[in-house]
Amino acid sequence: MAGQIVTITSGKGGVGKTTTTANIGTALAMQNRNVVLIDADIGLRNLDIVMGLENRIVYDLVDVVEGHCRVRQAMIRDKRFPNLALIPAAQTRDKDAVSPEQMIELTRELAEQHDFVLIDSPAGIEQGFRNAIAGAHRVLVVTTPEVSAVRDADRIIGLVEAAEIPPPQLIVNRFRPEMVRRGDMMDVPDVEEILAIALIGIVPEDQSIITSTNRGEAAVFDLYSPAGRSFKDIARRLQGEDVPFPVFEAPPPPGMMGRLMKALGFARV
Amino acid sequence: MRFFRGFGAKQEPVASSQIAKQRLKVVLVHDQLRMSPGMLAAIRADLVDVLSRRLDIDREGIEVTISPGPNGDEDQLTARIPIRRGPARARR
Repeated sequence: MAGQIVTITSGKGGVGKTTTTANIGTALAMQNRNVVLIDADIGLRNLDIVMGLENRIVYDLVDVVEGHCRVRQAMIRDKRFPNLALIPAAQTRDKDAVSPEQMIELTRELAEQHDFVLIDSPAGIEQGFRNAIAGAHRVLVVTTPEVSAVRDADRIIGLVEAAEIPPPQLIVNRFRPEMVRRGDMMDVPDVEEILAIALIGIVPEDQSIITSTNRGEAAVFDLYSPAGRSFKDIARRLQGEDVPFPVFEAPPPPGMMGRLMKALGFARV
Repeated sequence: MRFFRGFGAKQEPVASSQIAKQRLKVVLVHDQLRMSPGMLAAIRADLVDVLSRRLDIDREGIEVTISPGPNGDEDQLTARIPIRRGPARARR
């Protein structure tokens, strides 16, 4: 049976598409699936450096669609998992170098040999985005609980539905339970209500994202990373498993009073 | 939504997350309808013209807004149209 082609997009830049693609891809590979990642952000490649594979690029996506190499030659195997590979973006071309038809053909070919083809979409609504969703079986929309990210996510959802792809699913990223508790950040149900699509993941703000990217590793390797755990859950849900969403316990207020209250059992949820 | 922070702190107004949510709902209605900034003003002007042919309308007092409807699946245009009363007749 052919694999699933999944595009990760957002509209707004900087909300975590590339991090999400790298981590879900790695989690799927850890869970024994055959996975290939495609960086569709031509001209601004990032998935390679987040995965720690930046020194291994020989051929890229544009080389493949222009016929300069076979697909296999452009696929960079992950350092840890033989069942995980990356096709990097071209750095010196732009989004017009690839067409939606070429993306459809390439992703269909890859889906014959892999359980999952994950496509990291560029930000925006232009050609790069249209290329990234061409051929997608399903789309994941990443947003943060902030007004401009949610607004852009809404626009993207409209464009995905207009492209006759099934309704996308939502990932709320960079979630901060302590801010939500204070009323300073929208909660996940607020974002769900506004965007009206099904939730597939909640990922908390987590410094291990930065440290793991510094090392060129996915956060899913860090057993103590809450974000890593969330990405592993999303990978399981993508495979049809019913994984309950986490309840995040906000940290106690700073200072002695907070620590005293926590010690006495007045933990905050 | 009001809550206090600590003793003696001043009372906090509506939480910023709720303000964000309300603003998003309104702006998304405008975005989805592809409504240009001038369109509501043009609708308002049209309403003033049409209604003042039959009613004595307080032209300055008309308010026209678009917002999400009470059911989740529709939006609504709401016009508040004050009508001037005749001289010196209070309502019983």
